[in-house]
Amino acid sequence: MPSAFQTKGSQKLPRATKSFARQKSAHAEEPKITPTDLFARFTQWFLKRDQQPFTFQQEAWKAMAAGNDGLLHAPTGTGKTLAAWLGALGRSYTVPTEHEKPGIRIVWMTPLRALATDTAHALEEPLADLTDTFGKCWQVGTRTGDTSAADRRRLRQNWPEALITTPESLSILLSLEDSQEIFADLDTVIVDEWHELLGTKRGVQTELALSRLRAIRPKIITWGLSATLSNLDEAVTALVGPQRSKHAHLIEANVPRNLEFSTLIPEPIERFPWAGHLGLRLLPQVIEALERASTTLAFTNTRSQAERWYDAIRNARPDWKDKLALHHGSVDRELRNGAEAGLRNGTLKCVVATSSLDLGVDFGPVEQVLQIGSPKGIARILQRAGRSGHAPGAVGRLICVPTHALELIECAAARIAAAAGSVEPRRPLTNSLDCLSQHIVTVACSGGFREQELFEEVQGTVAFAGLDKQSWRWALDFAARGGHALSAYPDYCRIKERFGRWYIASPALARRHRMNIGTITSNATVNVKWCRGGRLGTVEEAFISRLNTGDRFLFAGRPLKLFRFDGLTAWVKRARGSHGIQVPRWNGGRMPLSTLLSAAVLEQVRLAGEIRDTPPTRPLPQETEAVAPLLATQAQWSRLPTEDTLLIERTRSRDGHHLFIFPFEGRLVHEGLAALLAWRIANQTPSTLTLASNDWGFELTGAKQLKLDARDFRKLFKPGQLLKDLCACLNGTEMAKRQFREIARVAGLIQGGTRSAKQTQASAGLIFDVLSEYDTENLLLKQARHEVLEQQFEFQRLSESLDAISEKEIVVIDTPRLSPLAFPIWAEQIQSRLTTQNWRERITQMAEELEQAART
Amino acid sequence: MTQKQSPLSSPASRQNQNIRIDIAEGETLPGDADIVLLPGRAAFLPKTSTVVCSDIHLGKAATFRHAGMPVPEGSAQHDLKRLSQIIQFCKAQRLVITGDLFHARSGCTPQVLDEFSSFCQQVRALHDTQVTLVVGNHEQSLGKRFRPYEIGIDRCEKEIIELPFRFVHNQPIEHNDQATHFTIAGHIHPTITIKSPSGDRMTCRCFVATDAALILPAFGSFTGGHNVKTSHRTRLWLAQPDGVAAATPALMRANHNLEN
Repeated sequence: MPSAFQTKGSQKLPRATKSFARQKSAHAEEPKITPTDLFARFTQWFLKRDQQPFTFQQEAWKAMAAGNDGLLHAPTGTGKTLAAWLGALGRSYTVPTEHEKPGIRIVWMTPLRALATDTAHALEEPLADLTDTFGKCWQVGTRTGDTSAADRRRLRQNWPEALITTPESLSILLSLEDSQEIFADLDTVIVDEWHELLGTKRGVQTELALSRLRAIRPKIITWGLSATLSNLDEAVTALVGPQRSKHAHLIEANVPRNLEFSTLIPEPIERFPWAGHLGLRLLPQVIEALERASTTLAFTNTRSQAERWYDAIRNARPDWKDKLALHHGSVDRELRNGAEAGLRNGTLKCVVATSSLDLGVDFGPVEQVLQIGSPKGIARILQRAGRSGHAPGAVGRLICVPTHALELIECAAARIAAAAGSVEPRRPLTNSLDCLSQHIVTVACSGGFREQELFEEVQGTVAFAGLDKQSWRWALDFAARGGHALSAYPDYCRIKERFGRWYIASPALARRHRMNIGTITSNATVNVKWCRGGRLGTVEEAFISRLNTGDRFLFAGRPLKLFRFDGLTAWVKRARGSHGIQVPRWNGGRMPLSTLLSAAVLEQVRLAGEIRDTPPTRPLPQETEAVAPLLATQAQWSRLPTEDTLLIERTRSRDGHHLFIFPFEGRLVHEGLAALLAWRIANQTPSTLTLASNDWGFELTGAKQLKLDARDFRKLFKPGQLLKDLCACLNGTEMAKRQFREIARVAGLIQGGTRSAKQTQASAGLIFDVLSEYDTENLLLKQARHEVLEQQFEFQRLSESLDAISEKEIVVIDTPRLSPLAFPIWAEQIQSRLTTQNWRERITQMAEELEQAART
Repeated sequence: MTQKQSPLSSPASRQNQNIRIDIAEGETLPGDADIVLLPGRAAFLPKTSTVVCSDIHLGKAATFRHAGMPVPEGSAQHDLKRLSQIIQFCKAQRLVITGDLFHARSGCTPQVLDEFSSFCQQVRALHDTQVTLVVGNHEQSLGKRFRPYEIGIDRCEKEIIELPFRFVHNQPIEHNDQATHFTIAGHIHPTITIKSPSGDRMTCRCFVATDAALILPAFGSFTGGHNVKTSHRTRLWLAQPDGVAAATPALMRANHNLEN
């Protein structure tokens, strides 16, 4: 059966709606048709294209016409867009409008503004063919951060019936004074890729915006589209709110999506590097894989990795010069557009990309996907695999490319789990006071609010269902006067109360608030431009300021030479050759290995361990078999970790004395455990410890030897007083400070991006210090600590893992050098510190260490 | 007072090499130093009984509030209190601020100006201390609203020369054998980041000295920092609220930003 999904990415049709005349009264005079007739017309439209609508699509149309909320869950690329779009059109067709000239009828939310244009094409396509039903009056418009000022003005004068927007832009629309009028005729809100927003602050922002829209227009229905998610019930509840969730529909598509997973196995495993993010050893095999397919999408986990791999592939195959492209979030929009267009029309051989291409409209020609580095999660490997094989009858193919030996095991575990159909859940966030504070000012900008009404409104969301009156008062007070500590300063005031309603204090503040709406934080970045003109993208200021004029670096796939840096722009020239060149590092989010996947990894280690003792009952996955010699070395030097032992290795190196501990609980929990253990150790003897962790275990390093045996460790891992100790060690490390940056930006404490207001530039770290000193009761500080506990350390999982450890046997082994499992942790570049020494002791110790290092 | 010495005048340049910089330990001031580095990020010149500090950035929190960002006050009062304690400790007759006393026009609220003028009165009453300001880039942007005589301080537009010293706001960290003065300046907010082999890493504000200049760390607590590049000819002192420590050659080598 030909399926419906290839219509999504097709670009054949001209943008017909541009030429549509506005005939608002057209369909009012037409005889009304019943929903059943309407669905028949939709089906006809499918048949005309030699397709048959799926059952789930028809189900969705019916549920939407009946005025229900719901969530549509189907694998990537099976026709969710058409299901929701035609359903929304159907509903708007049957619901009478209350105004002569209706405003926006359908809001379509997309998580990435880059997707807006493609989505507009996809929505206009059926509309152009269904003009006999809808008349020529339906227009599709986009309003995102990319929309020009002129286009925004045009939109405000004449709102399209369907508006495609992002959560940030929707909040901006909600902050406009006439927002009540703009959304007075709204029928349907569709939230595309809801699984991407759920579990993030943008998800909270979306929940708040939806609650606002429901307050303006109670009749609206909300539909979410999701893929690769396991906690569907929670997803529905967060989308429609707890009150309406009982009646919400959950439609799951039963459409099979054929996916094939495989892994590239390095030939001589002994010579394979044990660690490092730059493992380009598999390059020849990657080139072979690229030769086999016409178009390949190669995903990396970081932008730096993407730059390196793009450069390596280009140097290996100079003849592919014009058929390669690079795509990541820091590359200039136009270069990215070029790469996307090349993927769409099949002129490119390979695009190296980061998660910037995880989402979006499907690229028909992509035959296979490469995953370079560990996939880190099962949902992610499924999402990425789903980006390939969209030609009718084709199979989605994903090839894992491990960059160090132990990643082979992660690849095996992810591959097997994905085939078995398990996926990680994503939990919605709750009580993010920074988002609430921003929302309060947003609503104050749009004509004001009554305190009790808005309180009840936000309590209707999952994010703030548990909000108590005290926290609400605090958030309101923070929005109004900056909180308790600022009450004495009349110069600071954002919202004011008049006759029982709260309004924004001045139009200038409203303007500034709109510029800072959003929850995405970014580090200070600088533009990279050619000396002869033309923009290449952005890099972090911290990277560029370390370079000297004339230094070479790799960016946007080109070797560049820094010509001049004037504080805002790095002017560059082309450099020759890329050997030994620097690659910028971006501090993007680093995904931890999911719980599901860590368990699967430990299972593979167990299988590999068993094989040494007894002949296997069933064959090992080939990845695990390839890495077995390495695990044998681990078993010989130390031991293999198992489910019921906690392995601890002690060793000495040039850097000092190391402890390696392997609980296999994922990187986040390890960070928490490392901080906790370091705090408890340093409390017994004043010391400074360096902490590093990866998904398998963590490391504590100190200048002095820590004389600890299994019994001491048993005491140190005691679950008692966990919360108290963790809160104490948060002050000893800089973790809360790091988390605070994001919170401060969302709550309007620091302004993001622009460097125009030079006199109000301060680092979040500095503000954190000022608040800690002079406003200790500030709830944003508390939130920062809370977020570190809940989100960074996964407090629940951490406390469970401590309980689990108390059941385990603790094995302490002295190893003569770093063991195969310890080496990757040691090589982790992101470290944090915990100290209980004062600065003089620290400096003296550092000086001693440095002297010693200089002598040897 | 601002006559320039001929650059060829050798006694002055020899004089530069003889500038002795020492640090104050505990409750005693070293007797025979030309410059004493004090805990709390200020310096003392015993021969002229002068305390020098730089970059206090008063009213920065108010500037932030004016721009709609809720930052509490407290740092300014705290900084002025620290400064008056330093003056009492040295029994200094004069305070020279080498620029950036005030942060911005929108931060010069009546409250901030009041606090500063009562600070001036207080130190005058104690040791008859005279306050002098060398104008920094932040004061230049204050415009007409800034009238220093109203708050009782001397104002100097460009530099003060008092052999062998020269006080100025901005002086790049450069080596100059031929310099006729020893310059004391601020502006840069110097910091240094040190990494040890076992992974400890610390960023500290610092005093930086070349053979012809001393750059002071920013005095204000609500101010950022800039990691300075060092070479084997620069000397560094870590400036902490409760002490000063000279950076040993090993620490200097561990500086993140070491120049080759």
